[in-house]
Amino acid sequence: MAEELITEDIKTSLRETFKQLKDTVLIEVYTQMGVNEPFNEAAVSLLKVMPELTDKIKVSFYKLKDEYAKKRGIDRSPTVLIAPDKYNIRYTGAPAGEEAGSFVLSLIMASTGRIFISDDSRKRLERLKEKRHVRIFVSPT
Amino acid sequence: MLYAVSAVIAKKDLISVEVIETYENMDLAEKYAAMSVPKTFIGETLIAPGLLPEDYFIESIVEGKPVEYVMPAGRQELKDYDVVVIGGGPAGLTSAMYAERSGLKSIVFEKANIGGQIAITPIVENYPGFAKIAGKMLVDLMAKQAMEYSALFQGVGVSDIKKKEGGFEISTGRGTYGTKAIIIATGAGGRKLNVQGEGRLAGRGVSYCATCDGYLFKDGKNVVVAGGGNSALTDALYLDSLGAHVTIVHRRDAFRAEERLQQSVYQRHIPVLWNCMIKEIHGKSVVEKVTIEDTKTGKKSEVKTQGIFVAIGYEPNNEIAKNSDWNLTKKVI
Repeated sequence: MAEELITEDIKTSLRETFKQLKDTVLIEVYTQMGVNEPFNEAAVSLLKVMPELTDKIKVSFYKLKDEYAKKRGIDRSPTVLIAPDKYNIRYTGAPAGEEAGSFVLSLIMASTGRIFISDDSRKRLERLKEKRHVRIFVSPT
Repeated sequence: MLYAVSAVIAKKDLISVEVIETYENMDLAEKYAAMSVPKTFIGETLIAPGLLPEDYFIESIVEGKPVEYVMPAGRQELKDYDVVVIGGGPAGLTSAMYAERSGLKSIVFEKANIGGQIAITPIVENYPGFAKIAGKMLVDLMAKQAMEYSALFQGVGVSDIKKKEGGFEISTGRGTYGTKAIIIATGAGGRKLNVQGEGRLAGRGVSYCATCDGYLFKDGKNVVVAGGGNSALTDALYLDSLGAHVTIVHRRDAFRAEERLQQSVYQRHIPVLWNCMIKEIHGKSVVEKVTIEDTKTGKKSEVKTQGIFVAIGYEPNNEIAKNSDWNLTKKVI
């Protein structure tokens, strides 16, 4: 599959989209050979392209067996972290198909701090005092 | 998903999110019984077996559990209303808005998710005013608009309606409410097979939405599609395109679906078990096989399958009207 997954048209459109990025976003990609191979390739080829399109996205690639992966508590391949220095946003699986759009929007949110909830929702969240872990099961269709 | 990431950014010290691709993590999907997507959990608690409007999602995060009602600022909960609307789909929400605009106090009870079937429709292309819009987004817009007017309870079903002087008494999971009038807008739901194993294995291989869950069965997994109408054949063709090994089980000896769909099914050589009905669904934690009965000979056989897509039509949710004493004519639509 490799890089032709992301066509020139998509690159042009992403380049334009990424112009709105503000802070640099770090992305970490974790993979292990032999597990979910086509999805590892999809995740790696998608994320490899990103830094070519903007200087605001930095991507690092790790193997699951790396010490660093253990430190981050990652044991599934592929896993993608968005801005792990700032936020706790994890994709367990390749952000492909329908999810690719949400992934790009997540990057924009992490970079700009602009979010997709109303002022009313922000106010509601002020009441939260305990930790919450949200798991969302999705598919690319 | 975007609400969850937004919540993380708004409250980064307290909220974390993990988006799990089900197909690549089937063990997790099985563990959480999440073979129907999307499914949202907070901690280990299932919040929604589908998509949630923004206010409900955010409130559920704050509460750490599913919430029934989001109180808009400055509104009080009453016990007596002019109009009670049963059903929170587009018809119910519209009714509540019209009622309030006419000066009538209203409340909406929705036993599942606000928005009804549109909420699980990926793309809607026939809603006037929107050439193309995600079903979830359309529902969000409707819910937001309706909440400007009325009180919406999600996850609260109406169990009984009694006639009383000048109106009705409505029993719900949250207690009893009085009302002068009732609007029943309960819509329709996918008809179930009503066979053993169906309820237990729903979301574990038994599905009523091929576009939602079909992806999990790509790459040559065996699936059975039950039905012979347009939706069954559309589902079968969609699943076949994904690469699943599809078998159609149909209780008659001919399809009711339109000719074009039938031709496509024949061209793709999708096998059809004519005059057959699914009698039982087996599997320990996920679907493993089905028992099929030949309606002509009564002979039973077993078919190994990982997925069952039920597309045998819709049934009006009219139980509440059918069973009520006040429905004098006993007629329902």
